[in-house]
Amino acid sequence: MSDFEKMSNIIFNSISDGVFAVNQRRIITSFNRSAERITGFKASNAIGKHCFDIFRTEICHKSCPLKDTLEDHEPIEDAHVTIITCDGCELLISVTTTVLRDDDGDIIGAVEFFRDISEIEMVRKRCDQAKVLSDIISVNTRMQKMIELLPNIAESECNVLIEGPSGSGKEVIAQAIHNLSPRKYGPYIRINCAALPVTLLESELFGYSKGAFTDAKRDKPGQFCLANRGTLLLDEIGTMDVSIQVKLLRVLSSGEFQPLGSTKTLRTDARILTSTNTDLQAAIKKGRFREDLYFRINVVNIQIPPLKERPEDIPLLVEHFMKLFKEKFHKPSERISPAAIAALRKCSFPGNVRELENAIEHAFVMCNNAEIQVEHLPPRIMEECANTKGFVRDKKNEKDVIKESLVRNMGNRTRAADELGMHRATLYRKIKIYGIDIHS
Amino acid sequence: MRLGITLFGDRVAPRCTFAESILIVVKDRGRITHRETVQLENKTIIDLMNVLRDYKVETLVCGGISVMEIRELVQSLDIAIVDNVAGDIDEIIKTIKMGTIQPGYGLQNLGATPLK
Repeated sequence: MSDFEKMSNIIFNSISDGVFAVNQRRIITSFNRSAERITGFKASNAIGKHCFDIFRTEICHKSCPLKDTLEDHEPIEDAHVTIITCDGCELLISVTTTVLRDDDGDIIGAVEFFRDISEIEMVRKRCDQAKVLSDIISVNTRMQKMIELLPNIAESECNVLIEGPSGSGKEVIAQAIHNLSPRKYGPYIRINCAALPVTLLESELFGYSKGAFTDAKRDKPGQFCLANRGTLLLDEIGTMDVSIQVKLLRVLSSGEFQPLGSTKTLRTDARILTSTNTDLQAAIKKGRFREDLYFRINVVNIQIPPLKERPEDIPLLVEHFMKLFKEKFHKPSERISPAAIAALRKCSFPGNVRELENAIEHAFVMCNNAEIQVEHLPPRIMEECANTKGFVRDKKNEKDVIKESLVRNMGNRTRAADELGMHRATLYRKIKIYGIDIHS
Repeated sequence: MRLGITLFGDRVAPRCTFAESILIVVKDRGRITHRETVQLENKTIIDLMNVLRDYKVETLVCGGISVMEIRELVQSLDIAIVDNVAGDIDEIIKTIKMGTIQPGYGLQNLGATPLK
């Protein structure tokens, strides 16, 4: 080996990125030390093998950057793929490829540079966590306490029961738990137990074998099977028939279940989340819900308060829905008048956040101006607003609503009073009564 | 013994969950008595699981199979896994007939020796 070749070899093995070269048949011809470190394969074993047998990415044979570079002669930069390392672990890498030419300019193969970006991915995960939590819009103290606990709840594998009235955002919380959990790359499946008749729910959950019933022409996997390594939300669990509750209890206890018409026992590793808008304790007393199942699903309990108990969240939620509908409807409406916000605060919202969302959608349809006014809101809300005295439906929420308005208006009492639909002097008086520190 | 080999073209699929088809082979006293290729229509995990179950596969021979994928699901069907296998199908069939197929076959550093 000449001095030049020796030096080239030293440089090749000193590069911190993994580097390997292939010939035109994608057989590995060189493999540096960093490539050994990242993949776990020795160069002596990798050289002579097809690159796809060593790297085992999800895109080998399909849209492989190295294959594309060999075919199109174009370099590819920073493609993200997951490989399976020698010890069976999945690893995210960033890949850059380019062709190799000989002295005559003829293509003799391609070279790939790759680096382990799993640590960068971890940092991204933390950012994602913050983003997931930002999907839950609330300044309410009770909600904030719950949001703080969500990453811990998500990280654990325990069963969670989410309780709250219809439309209060139980599914948003369930989705956040899944997105924050180690199962986030696995499937997230939601089944509304109230929407399906007993037999259909049973076959949907557990699947069936060919011949289990007349229409069962082939095996169908159930949602427990499909949600393996992921999360399954059983929405409206309170409506589930007792006969299915027994089977669910078995899944929760041992992970085992039998598809309909099958004698084979399958196992699932799905995390089960449940939600309900009914009082399960009362259902237990009436014999409609099994107590043992209740204790099994209720390891961690999350209570979502109805929207009427957190009117301070209304302006933030309105702002969020305004953004959504502005994109959807391509209308000029950009803001909502303080009077309309004040009207919404007086509403009881029996349909909770979902009803508020519908009200804003209604207003977008009705409004052709830049600012949504009270008259653009649904008639039911206008009527309820006209019949409600004061600036908020329940007096006990007054302090939180004033605080939220002052924070959002950066302490400007005139603007806050205008938005709250009260005289400035009244606002001053209430700030004093409630001991609100406007400078904090 | 009934084996399923996940394929991509005429080679063992580099990754179990991205196979095009499964070759079902039945080995009886050192001979292959049945050989059938089953296409994986949607190339999903469920497809793969259905074929393994319907064809009563006892051993799955495959390339890479990550812990996060279907290892446990396959094992829950009482199917043994011979993973990290690389090579073209004729070579793998010969090795199966000889009874020397083992995890890592085709990738020397995992303890297997490629067929000469």
